[in-house]
Amino acid sequence: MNLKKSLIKLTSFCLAFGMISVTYQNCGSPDANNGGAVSSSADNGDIIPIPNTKTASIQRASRVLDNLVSCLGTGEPSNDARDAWQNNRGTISEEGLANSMTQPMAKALVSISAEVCDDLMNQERSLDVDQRRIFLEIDFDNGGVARSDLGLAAKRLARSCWGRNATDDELGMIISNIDSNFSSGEDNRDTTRLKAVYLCTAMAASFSTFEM
Amino acid sequence: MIWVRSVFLNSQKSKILLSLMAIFMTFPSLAQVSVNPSTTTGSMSFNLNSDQILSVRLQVTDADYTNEGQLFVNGQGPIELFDGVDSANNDKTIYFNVNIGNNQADWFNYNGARNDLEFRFFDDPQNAGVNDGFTIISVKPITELPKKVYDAVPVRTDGEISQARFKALDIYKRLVGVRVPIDHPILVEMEELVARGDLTGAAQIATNEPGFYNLVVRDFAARMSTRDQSINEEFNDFIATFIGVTRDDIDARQLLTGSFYYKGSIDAPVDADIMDDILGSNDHYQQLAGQNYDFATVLERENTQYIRTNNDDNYIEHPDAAGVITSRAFMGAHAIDGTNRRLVEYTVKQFACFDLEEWADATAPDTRVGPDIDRFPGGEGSKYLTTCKACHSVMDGFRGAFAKYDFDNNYVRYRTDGRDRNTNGNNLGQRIEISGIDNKMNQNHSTFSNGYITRDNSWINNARSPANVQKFGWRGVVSAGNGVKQFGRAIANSKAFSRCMTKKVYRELCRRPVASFETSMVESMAQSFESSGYKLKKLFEDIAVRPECLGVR
Repeated sequence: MNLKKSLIKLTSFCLAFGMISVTYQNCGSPDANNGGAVSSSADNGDIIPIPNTKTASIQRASRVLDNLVSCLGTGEPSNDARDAWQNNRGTISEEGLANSMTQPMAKALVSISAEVCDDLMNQERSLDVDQRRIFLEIDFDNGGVARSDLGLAAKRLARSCWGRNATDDELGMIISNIDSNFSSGEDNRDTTRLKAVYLCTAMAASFSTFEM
Repeated sequence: MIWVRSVFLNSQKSKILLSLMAIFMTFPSLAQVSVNPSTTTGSMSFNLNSDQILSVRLQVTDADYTNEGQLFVNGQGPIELFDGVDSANNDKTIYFNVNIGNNQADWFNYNGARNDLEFRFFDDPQNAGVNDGFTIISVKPITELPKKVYDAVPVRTDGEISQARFKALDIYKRLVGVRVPIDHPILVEMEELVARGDLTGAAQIATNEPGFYNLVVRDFAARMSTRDQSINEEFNDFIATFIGVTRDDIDARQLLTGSFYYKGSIDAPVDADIMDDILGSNDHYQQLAGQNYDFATVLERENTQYIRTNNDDNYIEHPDAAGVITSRAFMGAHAIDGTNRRLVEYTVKQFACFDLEEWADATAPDTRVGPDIDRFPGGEGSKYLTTCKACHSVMDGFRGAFAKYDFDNNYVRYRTDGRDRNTNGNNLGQRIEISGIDNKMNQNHSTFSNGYITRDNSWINNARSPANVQKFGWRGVVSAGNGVKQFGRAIANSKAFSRCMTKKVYRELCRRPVASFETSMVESMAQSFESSGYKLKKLFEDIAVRPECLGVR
């Protein structure tokens, strides 16, 4: 499967998934205090604060790459990841106001996340299983990765970047999406690696990763 | 005498290996190697366990001509030590890197082999000055300075997450600027403190993280450093000094009064010539950021600010240093062109948090308003009184503090004397030139020739109406003064400064400006900031855990 085509599909998925996440969680994950209370003025988009309530916000463009590298634990970003960030940061909110999310921004987050996830996959596939942190059950040298193994990786990714456990609904949605996007064609080493990057990107590009 | 410090940087060695090197290798005492007109060569040798030499770093005093010294490596050379140096560096200490090309790097022996270095005095000894020459202080492989790297920690697939852990993550995100896995050991440590109700203790753990400085304090200062007030400003001397003052728990009032700044460690392989890379460009700071260095570690305090004079191409110890106000970034943003009024406006805006219209006062005396301000705009005196005077009375009162400054041709310049010696002023029609005063202060003199002519760097505080006294909370003798340092001191000692820092930290951490119903919180935090000795790190910690910021579960 062509990676670019796959990522375009993934973009659509993440947009939907991201929006669902936001809807579910009221601009953030359940760990956001009081659901991340925020409201916006119809006139100027300013945040109207609610007393003693954390104001929900999203990650600033300048910190998006750091945020991904930190939560995914890849140490330093690769040059490809830096390039993706540089090329896309202009479409991401500079200040990270919760009401500044746009569709181009969601796409930009997918592009950057995909590169950091590629870094993660490349790091982990060169490690012994007991040294890995996310893809412990996945054999990167063969096809036929099991849904349950992807599910375990998804759970770790949720605790890494979302800061919480993934719900069963979320896990089901993610795995089903992978199934549908990889239902045809060869099932080999490359497909396994692509699925890992795909899974990681779908979760890392979610707004839950960038809720601050 | 010329002092040279030469450092060979090894980017490839692991920290462990280099630590072992430090233990087992004996480096020559470079004070033994002096090169001067009478001793024209100096030799030394050392073993190099590195894969590649990237640069030689020099600290040189009195590097006053280009060909002062050369380095030969294992008989091959030369590597010019003072390439690009000129007479402007006479009797000055400068820092710079000697670039070693790929071919020159091949002259070195690696993997523990011996390297013979010979430093040669290059110029004709007969013509050299008595103080010419240099002494090598040290040559050693060094551990590469820490880069901004994030931890990789084991992550569980499931397990209940406590409310205290969630809160710990919230505190961490706000103070460090990024997320970490919920199973990260630092969150476990913070969780224990949160569970005991010690939120500040949890915050203190977070502020020990490099991200606090690299991201949060960086953005906080970047927004204040230039006219755009954008967090996307490139790393500069203003930001570096803010980070350093926060990290080193220095009284934040020194940010407006101190003669110091922060720059990269001498071991960082970045250009560091004071004249070219710090005073005359942002290259030093740009390279530190570009090479992804951890600012929390790499920044070092320099106890003297320097400035280029406007009278010649030399730089001097800054006679009126005022912390970040006299930084290159701030001056570059506000002293370029114009009339130096913007320096007053933005100093108050950034450090007292008042836009000009908030402290404008139509009742203030306008005796200090410059001659370039039309008193009859459009032929109407009333327009000046109703729309111009209020701002200019207070702003021009302080403007004299910056009378000697200009930002020209990439340098902040300080006028130590005038183009002529006529202290009464040389009327040139559109401007009056005064000795020691930048011409911009008295430009367009014919607009209103009875306007105030700036003849020195004195200033008058016209923001002392009852409303402004209440607003600023002036302390001490602040009715008048001389120069930027005294102006900075007046602002720094005001209540407005501590309130302003509180509001700015709040905005940075809590992702919104302080709300009108949170005035008492600002007052309380500002008082706490003052009683803590104006420690910015503590202010960050205290605000991050406020219920207004963190929320109440």
